[in-house]
Amino acid sequence: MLLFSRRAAQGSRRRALRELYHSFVSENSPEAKGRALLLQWLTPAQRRQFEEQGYFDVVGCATRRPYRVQYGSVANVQEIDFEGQSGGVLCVAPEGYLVPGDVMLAQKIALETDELATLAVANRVAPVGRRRGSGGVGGPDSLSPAAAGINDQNTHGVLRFVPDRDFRNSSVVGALKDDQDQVADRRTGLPVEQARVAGPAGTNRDLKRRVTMLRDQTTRSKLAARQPNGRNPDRLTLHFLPLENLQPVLIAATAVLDLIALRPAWGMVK
Amino acid sequence: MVTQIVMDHTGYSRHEYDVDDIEALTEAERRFRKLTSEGFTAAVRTAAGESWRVFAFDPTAKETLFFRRLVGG
Repeated sequence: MLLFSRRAAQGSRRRALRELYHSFVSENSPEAKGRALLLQWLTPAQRRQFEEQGYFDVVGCATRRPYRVQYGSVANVQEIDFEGQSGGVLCVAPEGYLVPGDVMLAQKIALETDELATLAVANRVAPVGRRRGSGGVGGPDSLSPAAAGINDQNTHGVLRFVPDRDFRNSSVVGALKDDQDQVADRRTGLPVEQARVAGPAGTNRDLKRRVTMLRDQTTRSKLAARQPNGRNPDRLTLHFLPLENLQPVLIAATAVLDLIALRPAWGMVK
Repeated sequence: MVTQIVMDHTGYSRHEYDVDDIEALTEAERRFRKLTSEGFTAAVRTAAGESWRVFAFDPTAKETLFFRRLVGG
């Protein structure tokens, strides 16, 4: 019984020591220190917002524009317009390696005390879209991972996101196709206009035939343009030649046929 | 007690000194000049959490924070 109680006491002492060690490490890790420092320097409203939401808002000293500082150290500052909608994402941080709490504190002080200089050095990441179902500016989810990804100055690997798998059916792709069609029409004219260019057409059938002919000509000229000498080796070129160029060939062929036809007569002469 | 806080990879380093200690005060001023000449930004704050940048050593500032210059990420 005495042995059992001694072992139990040792176990609880060991457990208490382990908990003390873990709490010491968690309170004195760089991340914990940075976070504690950040909390000390935030205003009460910012501190409350950060503890509840994981981000805090700061107001730029020059433009009075609000910015949202998310927990993190890379591309974690989000511009917010005056209507509360999210804008671009700013990527700006102090030189060297710092923990997220330190980076966020530096960003807060920089935006609140020297906004224009901060914007001058910041790289802006343009959001492309939003995650489905998220409306307006939210928490860390308000910037969609599918959003985003093009930086107008630098390209960050971490910010390149893969689009949704069903992107082929998305309305964005449909709109892009429409845009491409419009661009193509601007270059070549609408199909009806192409037919008008081809000449007057009496019936719908004529119109269709002319459109088909124009399309074929375009295809042929594209194929010819692919070859450096303008010729397509797969189809040797006779049908590219206009009829008047073919005339000597036809005359020669006719003469050969005539000669063959006259051959028995030559034999009779001999 | 007055504190200078320098952000670094360990979170931060604190340097505390007594304003009545001339030697410690001189050392704090020397540290301020060295850090700001290296490109560090110095900032102080009010009790309400409002912060502003300082460009000269203020011996009465209760807490001065230093962080390196910002760069685009």
